Amino acid sequence: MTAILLSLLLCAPAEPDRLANARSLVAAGKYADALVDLQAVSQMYGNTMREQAEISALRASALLGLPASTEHRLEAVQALQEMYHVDPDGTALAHATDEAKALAQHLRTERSLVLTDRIVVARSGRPLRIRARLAGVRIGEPQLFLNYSAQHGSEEPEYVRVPMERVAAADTYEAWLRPGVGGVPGGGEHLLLYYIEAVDPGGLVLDSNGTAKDPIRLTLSDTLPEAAGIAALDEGGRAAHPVLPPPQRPWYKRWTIVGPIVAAIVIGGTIALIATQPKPQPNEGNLGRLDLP
Amino acid sequence: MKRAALIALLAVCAACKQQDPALMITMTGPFLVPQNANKLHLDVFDFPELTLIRSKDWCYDPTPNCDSLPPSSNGLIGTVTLVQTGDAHHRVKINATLLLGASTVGAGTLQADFQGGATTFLEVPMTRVP
Repeated sequence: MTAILLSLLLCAPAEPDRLANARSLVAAGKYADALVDLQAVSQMYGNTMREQAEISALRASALLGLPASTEHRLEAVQALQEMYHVDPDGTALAHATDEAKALAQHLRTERSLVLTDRIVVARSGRPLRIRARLAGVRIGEPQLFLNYSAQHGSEEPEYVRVPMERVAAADTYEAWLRPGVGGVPGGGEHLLLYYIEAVDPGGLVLDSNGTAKDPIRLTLSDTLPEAAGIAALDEGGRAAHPVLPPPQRPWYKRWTIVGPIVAAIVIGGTIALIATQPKPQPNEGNLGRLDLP
Repeated sequence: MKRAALIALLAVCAACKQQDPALMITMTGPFLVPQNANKLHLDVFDFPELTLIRSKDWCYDPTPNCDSLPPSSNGLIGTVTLVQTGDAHHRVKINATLLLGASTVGAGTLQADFQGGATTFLEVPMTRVP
């Protein structure tokens, strides 16, 4: 009996690629079925940002393919917004329907969108720059706020809210998180939660990339590879800051250069000292000394 | 520690340096200066070629060309050191002459070899010239 159970387990069919299946269903116009698969895939653990973006794009496509209704359209808008939050360039729209692409284009121009390259891992103990861009329409001069929290566990995270500074690049804002300042961990392994809000002059939230309930999760690590490991950890992730090679030692601190010079000086000095030592002289008589040619 | 090692090395190397070969010649004889003799003349010859290498005079009354010959009341004792910087001469012949005015009153001669890095002590007895 046990053997039969084991053989059944071993021969169990592999988990189907439900995202690929959903993609096929959308392409085939089977939108309701696609939504079921997309719902299942979105609840799976470990989706990369690229997969999340594609799920959102396909979901918008499927919703727009269903019989037209305000509710479906609003959900499609929400899905496309989510897509832009993890995929600022909208590359996931490659598998979307024309209706979804058109709505995405409309969103880009008619809505305020906070776009950011989500950082998923960064070296601990170093200043970290978070940048974001505000795209789409705006009323007045909006302000972007970075909300972050490194103190969490079983409790509700308490976020520190800092205004982001506008930089020279168009519609771009940035904020620096410095180790040991404002609750940012000074080093070690930590999980930092953050989200970025755009607020209009009247205090109305225009858009939020991540939320307090569903924040962007950033791993601060001393050990995780900073450059090579990013793509493997999350395809959508980017390096928090470029890897700077250690500064080159000046030549006068390199023993390979200074050592031989010092050795040559010491040896040369010793030889010179020996060479300049006077010869011992014989004693002279009372009539003096007579040097022979 | 390093400094001590360096000084020790220099001392050892300095000790390796040898003096020039020399002959310390002492001329003795029953001559009172200036009563019996007032001038000493020395000739040094290469041997066996007998080529004159060097001459020198010492006078009781010194002049620019004649160094001082000290007075002696108990007989002549004069010492001179011959030094050669190279190794051109292995054996030399030394002729010493004592004069009183223009007259030769005493003489002595000697052949000697130079020893590398050392001083050889020799004596030349001066005998009266009849």
